Amino acid sequence: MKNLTSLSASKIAQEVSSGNLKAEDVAQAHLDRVKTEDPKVKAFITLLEEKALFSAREIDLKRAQGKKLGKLAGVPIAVKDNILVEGVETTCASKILKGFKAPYDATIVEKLKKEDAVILGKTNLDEFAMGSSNENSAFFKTKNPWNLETVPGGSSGGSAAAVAAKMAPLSLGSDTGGSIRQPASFCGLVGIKPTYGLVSRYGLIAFASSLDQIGPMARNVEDTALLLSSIAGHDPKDSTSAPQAQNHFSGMPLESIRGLKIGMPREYFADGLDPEVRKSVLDAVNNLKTMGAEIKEVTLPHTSYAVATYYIIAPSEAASNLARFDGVRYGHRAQNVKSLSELYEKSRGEGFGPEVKRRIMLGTYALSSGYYDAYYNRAQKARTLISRDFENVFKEVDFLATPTAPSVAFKFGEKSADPVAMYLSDIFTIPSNLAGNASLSIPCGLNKDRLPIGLQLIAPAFEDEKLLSLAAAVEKAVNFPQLN
Amino acid sequence: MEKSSSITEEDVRKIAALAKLSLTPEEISRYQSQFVKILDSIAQLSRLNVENVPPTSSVLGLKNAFREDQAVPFEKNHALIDNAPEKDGPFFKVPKIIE
Repeated sequence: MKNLTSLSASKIAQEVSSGNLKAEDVAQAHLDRVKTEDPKVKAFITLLEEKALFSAREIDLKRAQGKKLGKLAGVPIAVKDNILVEGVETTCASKILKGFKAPYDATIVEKLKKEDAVILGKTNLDEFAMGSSNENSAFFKTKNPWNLETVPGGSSGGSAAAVAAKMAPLSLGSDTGGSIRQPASFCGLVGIKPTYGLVSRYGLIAFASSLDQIGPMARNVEDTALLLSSIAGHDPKDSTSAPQAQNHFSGMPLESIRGLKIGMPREYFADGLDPEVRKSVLDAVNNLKTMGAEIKEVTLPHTSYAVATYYIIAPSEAASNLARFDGVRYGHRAQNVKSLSELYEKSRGEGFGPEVKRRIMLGTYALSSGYYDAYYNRAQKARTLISRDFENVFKEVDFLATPTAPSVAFKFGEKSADPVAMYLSDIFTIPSNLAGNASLSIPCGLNKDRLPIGLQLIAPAFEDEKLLSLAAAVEKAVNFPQLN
Repeated sequence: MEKSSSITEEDVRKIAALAKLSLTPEEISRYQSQFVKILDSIAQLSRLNVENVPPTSSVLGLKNAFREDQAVPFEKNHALIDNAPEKDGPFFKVPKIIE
């Protein structure tokens, strides 16, 4: 077993548990890989070299003592830098949190540790997860390992790049409007936004609480399911956690596709879709048809309202959530201020980047007296209509198949000057956050420039297991290449 | 919602004050022009008929989540205080707020 960084997470866990591999060697191999790859890719904000090696040795020791190891025995994991790991700097890629050390572990991080995973480091993101390209990080831009001139997507771009470049077999992202699925699509990975409420958000720094959901990213479906099994489940510390959340996902391909009904919503294949993306997604759907699925054209009539709805709801919730960054208890504090109000205003003005300020102001405006009914309340009603579209369509079909993003990874600077153009890159992923259903991206091909294309599969809420099994069947049929 | 396109720099200043954000004159002018574009692009919602449609705030339809009100000791107080930009013993320090 020479090439430890090419192994799947499932294989690593199996070999470490059975004693064929040492967790320390696995951790060291991935840290070495970070040393050679990350100067180019720049996925990590914080690398936890010593801590990773220390916990790997502890895992090896635990095994030597004859104790049974967890589901993620010795598996290195990269964690998005908006998730708290005790004692480790957690920045949200924002100047306002520079130096902030998490006082406790997020529930999912506690779970990772319990399952004997090895946390390698914290990955880059668009500041406070607001963005679709990683260009909004206050620190640096992560690059797409498939082509360093293109963006890795966002906001979980660092988590995606780390796994695509084989610096880690698994990573955690968060998805508010597509922030797991769109970077998974751009970097040729599997990424799932689980059903809202399936994974605890306790210890995730909140962006838009009714939309945020944590999920895994990996190079294959089985690994994705393994990580989801390790983090899912009800958490009393998160009041929006679903009481019915289960925590077993096999990620094994469906035995038979025959008779499954898969819907293709016509609104997701409209003009403006990149022709190569369209072709690749249609090929994947045709594959499913050959395997016996029944393909049906369906309609989600309120799709065109989703982006507008999202850009009222998400900034409104963000304006409220980000009020806590006031320069008093943690993070950046402005100097030479005379009053408390000036302390708030200057600390926030200096600490937040342009996109975060833009969204805080949009949200403040949408919630302000005289505008609330026209914006926020109306958007919440539009959200109901968008959710009903999905409810209706899932009476006719079992799953939906769509492109994950309207294009492949774009070049740096291509959309960063125009917020509206950037917002539209999440046009196909946003509706699932608004409706709270289960949605994933799986690679279905490469374009002529060898950039990955993602197929999005959507299932009703709490059908995450079936969704992963369908994805595994697609994976078998597609045979997507990995980067070396 | 038709007011959106007419958003002025004065409006941006008011919003920034509500959001407790100090902005430079350049930022105010840039956000003013971007706001016009963004609000125009979301103005399409005003055409949607939402009569008799209830608003959605929780997709799961969850109401309040209750649990026993039991005190659990938190022993990491120092870790919280250590993050403060200015502190005095176990207290956060802020500028004087009462004259």
